[in-house]
Amino acid sequence: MNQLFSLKRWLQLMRRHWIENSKFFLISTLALLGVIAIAYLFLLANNHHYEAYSELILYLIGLYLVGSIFASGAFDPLQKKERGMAYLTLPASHFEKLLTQIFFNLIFFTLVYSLCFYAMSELFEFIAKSRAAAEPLKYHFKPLDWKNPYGIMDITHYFLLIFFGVQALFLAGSIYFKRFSFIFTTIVLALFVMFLGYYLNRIQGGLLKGYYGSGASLRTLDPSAKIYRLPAAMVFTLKWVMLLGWAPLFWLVAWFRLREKEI
Amino acid sequence: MVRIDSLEFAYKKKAVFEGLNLELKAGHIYGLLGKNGTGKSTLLRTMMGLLFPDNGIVNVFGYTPSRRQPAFLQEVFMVAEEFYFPPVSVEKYVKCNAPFYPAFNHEQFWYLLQEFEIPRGNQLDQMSYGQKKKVLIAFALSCNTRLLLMDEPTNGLDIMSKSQFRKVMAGVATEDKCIIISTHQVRDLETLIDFITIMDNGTIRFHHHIEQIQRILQFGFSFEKTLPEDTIYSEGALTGHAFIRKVENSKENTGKIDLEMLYKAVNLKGDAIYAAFAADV
Repeated sequence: MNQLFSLKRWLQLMRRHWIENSKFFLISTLALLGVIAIAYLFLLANNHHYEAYSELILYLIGLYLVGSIFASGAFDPLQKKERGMAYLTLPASHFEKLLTQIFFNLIFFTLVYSLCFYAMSELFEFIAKSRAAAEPLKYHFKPLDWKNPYGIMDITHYFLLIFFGVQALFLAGSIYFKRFSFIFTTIVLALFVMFLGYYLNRIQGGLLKGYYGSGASLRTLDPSAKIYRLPAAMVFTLKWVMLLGWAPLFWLVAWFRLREKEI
Repeated sequence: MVRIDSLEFAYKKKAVFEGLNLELKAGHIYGLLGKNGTGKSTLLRTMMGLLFPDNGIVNVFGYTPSRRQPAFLQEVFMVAEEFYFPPVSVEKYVKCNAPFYPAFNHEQFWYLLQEFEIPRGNQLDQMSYGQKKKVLIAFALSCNTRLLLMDEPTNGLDIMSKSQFRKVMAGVATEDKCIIISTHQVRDLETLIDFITIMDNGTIRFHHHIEQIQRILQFGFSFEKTLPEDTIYSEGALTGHAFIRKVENSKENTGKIDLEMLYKAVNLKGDAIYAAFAADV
């Protein structure tokens, strides 16, 4: 018997997770639809000039916020003794238990959230278009034009990729923190972002005096001096590691933490 | 089946076990008795892999419980004092949890549920504590695991249910299984247990088979004011004295063991009890 992963056992675990949580998923989906509808109503009510671009911003904010809340409840059973005991003693490996949570957070949540958003988007765009068609002088509707991107449109996919890392952090946080995992993980994330900002602005400036960074290059203030540039292959690798590496890193942290969890 | 060598465990700075040794074999129902906070539940959770030893070895049929490997977990089940059920029906619960236990017997489960008088289609979250406990006990027994740990299984059960519990437990004890029942309510389990293990301050103070206890100790009652000279332990009752003394002739022993009195005797007159058992060895 494979003690790390068995497809049969994992499918049983997925089935169990689905059966035991289906009611919660249904209610959550309805609540999500309601919240998205309220957000759209505000968008519609406050804008005579309705831009579909605002929906994109709304989608991303919602994805990060709701996704983090959902992920921070992933290992909720471990926060209570009786639930944690039943969860940890269930005959499945820690890897299978983690993989189930990753599936339901990464794939299931993102899919359901996107579908809910898409449904509401279609409904409210229809209303906005009808309104603009009925009163063209008063109301306007501007759809998203992906051929002529502006704002964050051409970096949307980066936001999506980083979202998986943020979600994985909240997943790990739900094992690490016994209580208020969402709040504590948010604090950790905020501290990390602040440190990153501080590092980029102050520490880097102090250590590399006379130089300034530009993308993956390091330039001197003297325009006639040397320019240091990382090789293109390394830039490419680093970029994708930074974009995609966070999620596996936090999953690994979550796996180790789950293995050493005591109740 | 279960071998514990020099187990050391502490909650932060509070030591619970400091070199505990214990060996438990298949084919027995062990009664684990002890005061509150002596480490009974901690011991069960260590055997289950929910707590990790600071030092020492815990070996359960060749596995290290703290690794929580699926092959190990499917051979053990713990009926905890505080337990959780998801908000689903009994049928759904069995449907999604039973496949994890290869020896699970569905017929046995529904039979036990019938014995406990629990309706089949009931929602688990709408049941009383006692009903839920009976479902959990029925599930635990039907898993047919090699090791079954029960922490205060009769807590929350009414008089009839306790009697049903004894009945079903008597039917599941087999040669290949080891059942450990931790309890304060010794009278509920007097007829079930065949091995008495008494813990105190994280150590095993008494660990003997019922047959050995019957061979060595006699539990009697005297209506006279004077007690037999060789009385090891006694306590006053309304009409006389209950006492424990060393058996002179094991053939004369009635065989009835008062677990509550034995427990008190071990705690209050430990040396005399140990001396009696040492002589037997």
